[in-house]
Amino acid sequence: MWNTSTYPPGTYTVSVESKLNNMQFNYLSGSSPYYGRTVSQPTTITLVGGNPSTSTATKIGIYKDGIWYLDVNGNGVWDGAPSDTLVTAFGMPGWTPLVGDWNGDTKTEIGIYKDGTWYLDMNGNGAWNGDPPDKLVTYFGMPGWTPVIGKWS
Amino acid sequence: MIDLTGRATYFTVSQFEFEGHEGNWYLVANTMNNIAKPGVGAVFNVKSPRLNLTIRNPDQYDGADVSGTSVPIGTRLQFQIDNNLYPVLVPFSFRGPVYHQTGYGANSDGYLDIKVKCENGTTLTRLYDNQLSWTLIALNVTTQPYT
Repeated sequence: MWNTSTYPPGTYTVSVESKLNNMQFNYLSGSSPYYGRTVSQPTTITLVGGNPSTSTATKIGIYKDGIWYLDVNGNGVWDGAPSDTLVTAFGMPGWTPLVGDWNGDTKTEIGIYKDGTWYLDMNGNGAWNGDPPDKLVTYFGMPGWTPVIGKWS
Repeated sequence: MIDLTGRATYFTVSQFEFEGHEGNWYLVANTMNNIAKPGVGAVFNVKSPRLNLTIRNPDQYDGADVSGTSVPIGTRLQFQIDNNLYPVLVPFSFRGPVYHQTGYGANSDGYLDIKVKCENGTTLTRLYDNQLSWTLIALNVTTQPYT
């Protein structure tokens, strides 16, 4: 299910394709097998309207010792859940909070870093669920180094 | 006629190439006036060269097809694929298993990828349903139609 509440207006193009070359369609028994991938014609859905509070604009948040207060509705006031989001136990004292779009869904997820170890909330649910579905990166950095993020490619 | 030079064992079965040309396909030689190569039977048979995907609104009666339309932000949507899934569901007749195969990673395993492309060209690999995001890649298929 796709809940479009937090997606920006605009036209989205949707298609589907078979994944592996052993999606073997219409193979005649006794002949050499031919393998193919199938793709669909793209279709579209246009999202219109929307609530300004759920726009794609970046909002503020605050972090302390593994506790995150995220101003999801963007009004600059801590309203508590469900209007805003409280994340507990994602990080520890002395760790560095990170944010980024780890999974490519255009929304920002949280992460935490300490001495070369990265814990990234890949599924965006505000909890550490292990790797997978979340992402653990080890030995990428050393004590005293500063983590940086970006869309390098 | 299609030219499979360089892609003889692996190619995309696109609607563009095969729509309207269902049936037996034969090997031909351009040195023989493009007639079927003697002694070689049909190479493959095209039956349904497409995957049809529709976008559905599960909150409307009978999950209305809203493909190609506009909907208000906040609408819940589903994707439905309702053809060409038989080879997926009956693996031993048409193919080997392609899900949870040894040697394949999380992004290369599975049967289908759904591509959702934004206006800015970004292709989304996950979509949110409330607080959880769900992957659109390497999807396992268990039913027909698949929603």
